[in-house]
Order: sequence, then C-alpha cells, then structure tokens
Amino acid sequence: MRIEEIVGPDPWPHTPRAPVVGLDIGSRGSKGVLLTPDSIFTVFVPTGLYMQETADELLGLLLHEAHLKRRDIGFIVGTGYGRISLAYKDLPYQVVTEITCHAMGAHAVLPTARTIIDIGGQDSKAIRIDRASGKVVEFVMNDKCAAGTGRFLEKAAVLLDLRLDELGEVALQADAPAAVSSQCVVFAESEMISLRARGERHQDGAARSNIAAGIHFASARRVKSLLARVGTEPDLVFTGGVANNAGMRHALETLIGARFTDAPMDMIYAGALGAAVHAGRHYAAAVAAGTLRRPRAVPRRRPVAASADRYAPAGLQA
Amino acid sequence: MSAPTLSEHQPTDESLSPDLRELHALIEAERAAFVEGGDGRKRAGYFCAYTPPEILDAAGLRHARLFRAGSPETVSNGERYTQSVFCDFSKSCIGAFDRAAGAADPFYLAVDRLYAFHTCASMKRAVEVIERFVPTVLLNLPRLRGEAASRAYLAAELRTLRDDAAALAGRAVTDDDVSEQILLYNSIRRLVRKLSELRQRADPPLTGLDFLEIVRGFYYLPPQVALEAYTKLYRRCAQRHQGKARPARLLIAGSIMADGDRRLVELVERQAGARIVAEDHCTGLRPFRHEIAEAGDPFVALANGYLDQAPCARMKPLGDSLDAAATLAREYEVEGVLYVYLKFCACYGVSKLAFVERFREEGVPVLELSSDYSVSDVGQFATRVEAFLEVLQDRRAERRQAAPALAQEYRQ
Amino acid sequence: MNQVLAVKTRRRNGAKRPPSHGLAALDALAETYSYDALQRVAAAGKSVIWGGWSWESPLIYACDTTPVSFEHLWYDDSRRSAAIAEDYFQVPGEFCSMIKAMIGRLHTDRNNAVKRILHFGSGCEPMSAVLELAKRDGYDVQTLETVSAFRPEEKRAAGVAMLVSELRRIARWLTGREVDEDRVAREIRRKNRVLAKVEHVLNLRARHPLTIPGAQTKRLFLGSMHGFGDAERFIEVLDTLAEELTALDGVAETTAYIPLVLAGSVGNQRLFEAIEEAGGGIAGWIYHGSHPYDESLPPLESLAHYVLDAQGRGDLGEAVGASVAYRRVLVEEEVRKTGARGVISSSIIGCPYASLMQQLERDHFKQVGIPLIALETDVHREPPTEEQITRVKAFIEMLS
Repeated sequence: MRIEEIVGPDPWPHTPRAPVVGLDIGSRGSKGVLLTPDSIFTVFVPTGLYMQETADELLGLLLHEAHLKRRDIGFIVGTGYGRISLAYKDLPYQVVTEITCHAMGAHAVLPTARTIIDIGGQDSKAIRIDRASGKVVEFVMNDKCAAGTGRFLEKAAVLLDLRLDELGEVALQADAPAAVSSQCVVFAESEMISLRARGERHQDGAARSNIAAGIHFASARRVKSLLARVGTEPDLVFTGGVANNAGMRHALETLIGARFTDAPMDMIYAGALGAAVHAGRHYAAAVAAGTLRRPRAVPRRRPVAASADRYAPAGLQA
Repeated sequence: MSAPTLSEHQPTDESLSPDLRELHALIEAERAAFVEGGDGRKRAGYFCAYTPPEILDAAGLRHARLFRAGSPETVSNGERYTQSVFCDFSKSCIGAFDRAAGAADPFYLAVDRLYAFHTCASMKRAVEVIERFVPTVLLNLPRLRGEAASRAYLAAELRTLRDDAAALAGRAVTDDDVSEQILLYNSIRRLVRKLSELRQRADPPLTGLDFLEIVRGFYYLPPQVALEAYTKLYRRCAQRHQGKARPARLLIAGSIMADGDRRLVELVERQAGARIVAEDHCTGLRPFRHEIAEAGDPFVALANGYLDQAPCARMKPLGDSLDAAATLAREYEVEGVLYVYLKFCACYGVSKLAFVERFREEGVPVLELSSDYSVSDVGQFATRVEAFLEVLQDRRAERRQAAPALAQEYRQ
Repeated sequence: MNQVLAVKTRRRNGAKRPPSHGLAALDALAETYSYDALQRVAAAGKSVIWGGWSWESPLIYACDTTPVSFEHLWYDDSRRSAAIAEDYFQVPGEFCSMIKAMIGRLHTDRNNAVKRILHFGSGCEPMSAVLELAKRDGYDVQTLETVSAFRPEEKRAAGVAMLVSELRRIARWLTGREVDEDRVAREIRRKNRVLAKVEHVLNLRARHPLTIPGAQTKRLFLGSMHGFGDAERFIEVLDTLAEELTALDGVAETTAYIPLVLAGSVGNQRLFEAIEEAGGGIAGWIYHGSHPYDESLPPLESLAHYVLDAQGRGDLGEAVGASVAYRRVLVEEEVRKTGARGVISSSIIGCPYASLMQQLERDHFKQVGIPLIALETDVHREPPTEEQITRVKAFIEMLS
C-alpha cells in the first residue's frame, strides 16, 4: 500500500531513505512492517515456539509482498517480548522496547496523538508522548497482575464459551454489566463462574452478555488507574491486539469519559510500525556517519543504554 | 554447619568491582563465624535499621541485622502462617526461622535473642509467629518525629533494650560503654557516607551493587573490622582515575531491599548499563545520613539521632520522608528514580503517589516497580527498565543538543 | 445504610414473635448516628471527628466531641470510592477494599464539615498510610503515638506515660484547653455501665440467638464502643432489650438451631441470612469484648491500661493493634461457654492481620477438634458469591 493512502498527501516526516523493517515479536502474535520511500507493507503471524523462526517468517513475507531481496533492507529494528532473542548476521539490527515503538507508531500515523493505551497479551501500558517528536515523556505499566491484559480476556472467553474475537461484540449487547472484581484474575474467575451459574439457574438469557461486559469493565478499571498517572490528554489512541475488541474500547471510553481517535490503520501494527520508523532513523544516522554496513567482521553488540546517544551507529549485531 | 541451599540471588565475586572483593570475603567469613559459635558470646539479631547496634556492642554481644531474603522457598515457608497478603520480606523472616519447615537459615537459627522493634504492622504480626521460634524482645518505636514526648519514649525503650542486652551478655552496660560505641559508630557512618559520595562523580568508581555490599558490611561486621576495611577501601576508590563513561544516574527509593534481593540492581547496572548512585531505602544509603550527638545522655542522644535520620515512610509526618528523598535526588544529581515497592508494603505502596509527585516536582522522572521474590519476572523488569532508560537518554540528548537538524541530532 | 433497617428475620417454623420495642429503639438510635445525621450536627457547629470511637471514646466525649466510626465511609457507594482510591490516589490493587473505600469517600466528601481525623499509630498500617494521603484534601489528621503491649500483662510504665501524654495532647487538639479529668472519669463510668449492660444482653441473647438478628447484634457491639453518641439513650435501649430477653428466658426455644460462634465482623447481610437459612444460630460472638475500664485508676491512666490490656488479650481488633495470637483464647472460651458446635471466622479480603490470625486459629482449632470455617468478604454491599454461601451452608450442615 502506498504510504499516502494512510497518512494523506502531505510529505511524511518518517519516510525512510531506504527500505527498512520493524518486527514486533509479541507473546501471542508477531507483527512486521516494511517501509520503503513510498510504501508500507504489514504482515501478522502467530508467534511460534522459536522467535528467530517467527521473525524470519515475517521478514520473508514482507520481502515477498514488497518484491524486495534481503540485501535491499537498510536496517531492522526488533521490539516486543521476543526482541532480545533475535540476531541478524547480514543486516544491521537494533532493539528498542515496545513502549518507545508503540509511541512512535501511533505518532507516525496520528500526529495529534498524546496519550496511548496499549493492551497486549500480557502487559498493559499507558504512555504520554511528546506531540512534536513522538518520544515517550512518561509511561506506566501494569504490575505483575494479569487483570487488565489480554490474558484476562482470554480466560473470560473460555469460561463463557466464546471465541476471543466474539467476546467484545457479546459484551456490547449487555443491558446491565455485572459487577466483577478487578482486584485479581483469580477472584474474577470465581465470580464469573458464580454469575454464570446464577444466570443459568434463572434462565437469564442476558447473563452472558452482562458477565462479558462486567469482565471488560473490570479489566478497563485496571487500565484506567494507569492513566491517572500519565493523564488523559487528547488525542487518545488505543494500540495493541486488544484494540480490536469493541467491548474493551467501549468500556475504556465509558470509564475515561472520552473517545479514542480512530487510526487510519489497524493499531495492532503500532509497535512494528514504530520499530520501522526507528529503523529508518538508525539507517539515516549510519549513512551520515559513514558507518554503513556491508557484510564484514562483526564487532560485539553493545547494550542499548550504554551508548550515550541512542542513534549512534552500533555496528552489526554479533 | 553448611550454607543453606536456598535459591537466592547473591552477588558473586564477578558482579562486584575488584576493590570490593576483599570486603566481600571478610563478610562471608564473619557470617560463617556467627553460625559456627564456640566463642562464648551470645548472638543478638534485629530486623530494623532503627535498632542501635551501639547498645548491642556496648554489651559485648555478637550481633547482626537479619535482612537476608530473596528465595521463593523461604517465602512459601513463611506463607504457611500468613497466607498471601504479607510482603515477601516479612514472610521470609518467618520462613528463615522455622526449623520445622526444613529450609530455615542457619544464620537465623544461630541467634540467641531477637530484638524486634514494632515498625510496620506486618512485621509486628510476623514477629508474633517468630517469637515461637526464638526468644524475642518486642520494643515500641514511636512514629512522631517532631514530638518531644515521643523522643523521650524512645529513649525509655532503648534503656529497656540495654537492660535486656546486659542480662543476655551477663554483664553491666554503663552509659559510658554506650557513649564509647556512639563515637565508634559515628566514625563508621561517616566513612560510609564518604564512600557513597564517590558516586557523585560523573564516572563513579563504585557501583550500586558495590555500595549494597558496603552496607552489608555495616550490618554483619564487628565495628572495628568494618572501620578498618572501609578506610582501606576508601583510600583505594578515591584514587581511582576518572574515566569518560557517563552512565545514566539513578536513585532507587522504596521498600527494604534484602540481602539476597539483587536481581533488579544487577539488571539495571550490568545488563542495561545504568548506575545506581544513591538509595532511599533502609539497606542502602538512607540509614547513614545522620550522626548521633557525642555528648550528654547517650540514650537521649540515640533517640534523637535515630529519629532525626532520614525517615522510613512509616514515620510521621510523611512529608519528612518526601523531603529527604527529594534532597537526596538533588544532591546526587540523579536523572531518574526507580521507585521499587514490595507488593503488600503499605508504607511504600500506599504512599507511592506522594513520592512520585515529589520527584516529579523536582523534575526527575520515576519508574514504578512492584516487586517480590519470584524469579520469573526478570523479563518484565527488563522491558520497563530499558524503556525508562530510553526516555532518560532522550532527555539527556535534548539537554545537550543545540541544532534541530536531523543529522546533527543523531550524530552526537 | 438503610438497607440494614429493612431486613426481617427469617422465621423457619412460622412461629410468630411480637415485634421488639428494643430493636426498634436500637434502629432508631442508630439512625441518629448515621453519617448524614452526624454531618448535619457538624455543620451546625458541634465538634465531630472521624475516629476516636473505640478505647479513647471517654476522652473524646469529655471534650464535647462526637467520634464517628470509620465504617460509615464504606456503607454507601463503596465501589466508586474504591475506584477513586485506585485512580486518583494510585493505591495499588492489592490493598483491601476497606482502606480504599475510606480514602475515596473522604475525598468525595472533602468539602463537608467533618474535617478532623484521629487514628491510633499502633493500628492498621495501610490505614495509617492512607490517612496520610487524606491530608492532601485538607483533613487535619492526628496520630496517637504507637504504643503496644505485646503480651498479656506486659506493660511498661513508659508506655503508659506516653499514652497519657498523648491523650492530653489530643484533648488540647480538640478543645484548645487542658483535659477535664473529672469529666473523663464520668464518661468512663458511663461507658462501663454500657459495657456491663451489653454483656448482659449478649449473654441473654446467647440462649435465644434467633431473637436478635446478626446485623442488630453487630450494632450492639459497635454501640458498646461509641454509644451512638448518646450513651444514656443506648442504656435505655439495652434495658428494654434485657427485659424482653429475660421474658423469653423461661420459654423454650421452638426453633431448632445449631449453635455457632462467630469470630470477627461480617460485613455482608446476606451471609447472616445464609447462616440462619442453613439452620445455624450465632450463639456467641467475639468482636469487641466487654472488659471494663479500671475505675480505681486516674482516668487517663485507666484509658491507657484499657487499651494495653486489650492488645495483650487480642481484643478490639486491628484498629488497636491487638495481638493475633491470643484472640483464639477468647474464641475458645466463648465456644465452651455457649456450647457452640463450630466456629465461623470472618475477615476482610486483603487484610494481613486477619489472614494471619485466621491461619493461626485454623491450626489451633484443628488441633483441639473444634470445626472452623474461614470466610473472607469485602466491604462492598453486593451479595457474597454463590460459592461463599454454599460453603457456609455446607459447613453448618456438616455440624448437624
């Protein structure tokens, strides 16, 4: 797809000088984005047992879509849960956390974005970004508890005998969302079972919707308390896999009292897109510094934070 | 007795700077001797940094702070009594003493008398179980730093401590004995402060891991041994040549960080390349920021000195703790704060907002981390810490850069 | 709050009982001590504070001040209050619903007339921490210094002196003047009368546990501490109840029930009902003891000794930092006294104090062969889960 179909006709400030790739290896699903000077390509595959294989699969699919060869790629940035297991001998590669990448990804397609909520498979985050640069100003993540993450919703779907992609729609049909504990997944689970039993006993057809809605609100409450730390300045953007769950969107919008701004593309790709944008910057810096790669003897990889400047060329990955 | 086979995280020789290895060996030898016995001296143990070792030494007791924790096994042994809603530290205190559970810590079992101040309500509750396992003296610790009556009360409780220590040691403990120890411990604290201040350099010769080891020394070594070791250490470290490295400067604030709970600091320093330059918690720099008056009634001096120290968040008013934390952040010119609180710690968990906002007023970003002694969450920590460091790097770059052009921006 | 007044006791065998004047009077009295009523009193210029309703209450009354029990803070709208605690105050999720509801409601009502809060430093740590946050909303929060007797009969003179000095300071905070010790002595004598009468009524009730339902029995316990702000009127209520129960004394209980001892407080009305539906009757209840103040001591010392003794005895709960190890002694005595067949031990989810105490009690009662079930609820008013109701009923069935 041409980039201007997503971001409009004006020149896009994140246009890379060469094709670059962002790979977001999540706990459940992996996303890849390839940016060229005028186009964008996206792919999704379920995360396999081996991160490298999944990453290679993503890369292969992207290259195929874009009709490019591996050696055409200027830079790759990896992010997400599986980022640190990846290695590329023949391509320049860096890791950046998914917090930074989600921020950049949302910013790249929605320059007015200020507050991002990202709910993934096992994490949820609230991020405040600098509107001008897309950089993270402040962020808060969930503590270790699973309430407020995708995993919580997965469990709920199983207990209610629904597919995960049905859960949100069923929740939207609720007329009286059940009060479900948001303190702990385990408590919530047992409450759900009780409610379900009660609904069956009273042959309450609306029970399942109400319970589903209750779960979404319980989950949303956990996420909302993160927001109190970073604020809810507009525009609000919802990223990550759970962003496609209409029930969750509704619950969050109700609790926050504001709407999410619609994004011009599926925000499940926010992380990978942000990674690709960072890849573009790394590439530009490497070109400017004259340290651009061709396959050669590989220096040791330096940890990201040790270099004084994040975009100083780090050389090839070992 | 052999060392416990608990799955704790202990700094190995590798994770400490070479200068610290001698101190580390001294501490381990001392700990072994504590367990070994055979020297005819009674052993006193205590949990809280408000317990004056000055009094214990004046009685000639061998003593140590009991703050060894970090193993999930010990936690679950303690949990048999408390169930889930206690912090992992308080659970570990129980688990370490419970012989019947089969994984008690020989170090804890070597204690003849436990002096337990009523600090937070959870620890007080834990002690009600622990006193079944070891002879325990419970003491009150006032909260109101600003009230004269509270200070007088603490002085009275400290005299009670002295009386019991004397009885345990089988000898009298005079006011002069205590005054002498006050002098000695003041000089030790001064040295620890000076060692910490080396971290004010842009390229600190000591890591956060190193400093935690120094603090370990304070709580395990006899004072004379500590004094000598620190003097030597300071001479060596102060002479270290300043390098060009400029690691990110962080303050860790929050709940107690047990001896054995190092995985976060290791992650921050050895994996992510940042540096902990100061600690606002009771097993780091905080207990060393005060001096006891060296004249007058030693118990009045101790009560005043300990209540004057940078306070634990259980003290009132909370504003005093917030001020102390902010002062520390300024003094050490930290770029970011890791606010690390144990899950279920009321003092630091419930008060979290107050601390975070105070740091924000100082212009210092904060990363909040809820922690416990499980071993499987390092990946989660890594993501958060790395993201935080990315934010700090951006801020640093913003402060330095002059021209907004893209190429210059990324070519520092 | 008013939901409680509307509850009717279940009559299993259709036996009709005449309406109780005593209970009606009790409910009416409680109404005057409702949060709204007290707000009006405060707005009219009278001194009203949060806290101070327990061991210190004679001092508070002697300072012409009405102490309000914290539980009013979670009677209404508790879920919304808890959400405020988590969002606005960033209280981490793992803490109990009680302290979250407290800080949330204090925040919501921050512009009302009750702006002073007293709490005891020896008590619940999360509550102590959360009240620090209340200062941000302009509340004047006083902490009574942390003094504890850790074991029965272990009180140090310095501790008593510290408490006495603190009580004087609190009196100055309330009135701007030194405390009137004679008035404190009078209030102590009056409270002792209340305590004696509450004990008498509870003993009578033990023989007919179905006559005073759970919620109203709980009221009696609370009233023993604070007298609903009007001790004389409460004494009248107690006298009426005593008469009514004495009249029943000769009459055999027609409804069979399984006698139980309840340890701790139950927040949820439905659980009381479940107990009775399953055939249980709460014959004995360990909640607040009726141990009197020592009138032979100077009044402030009397208050100090009272709380130190309670701590060592395991009485008066976490609000005073009572020992967890000793409450089971009180529970076991109550079991033997009432002939109860089992113990229901109740606590709030997320409470460290309660969870430890329950575990120790579980271990102990298993050893002495007395059946025990542990219940955990939150402070919200919604019905307990099916699971909890089933457990309670199954436990009672097991005892029949």
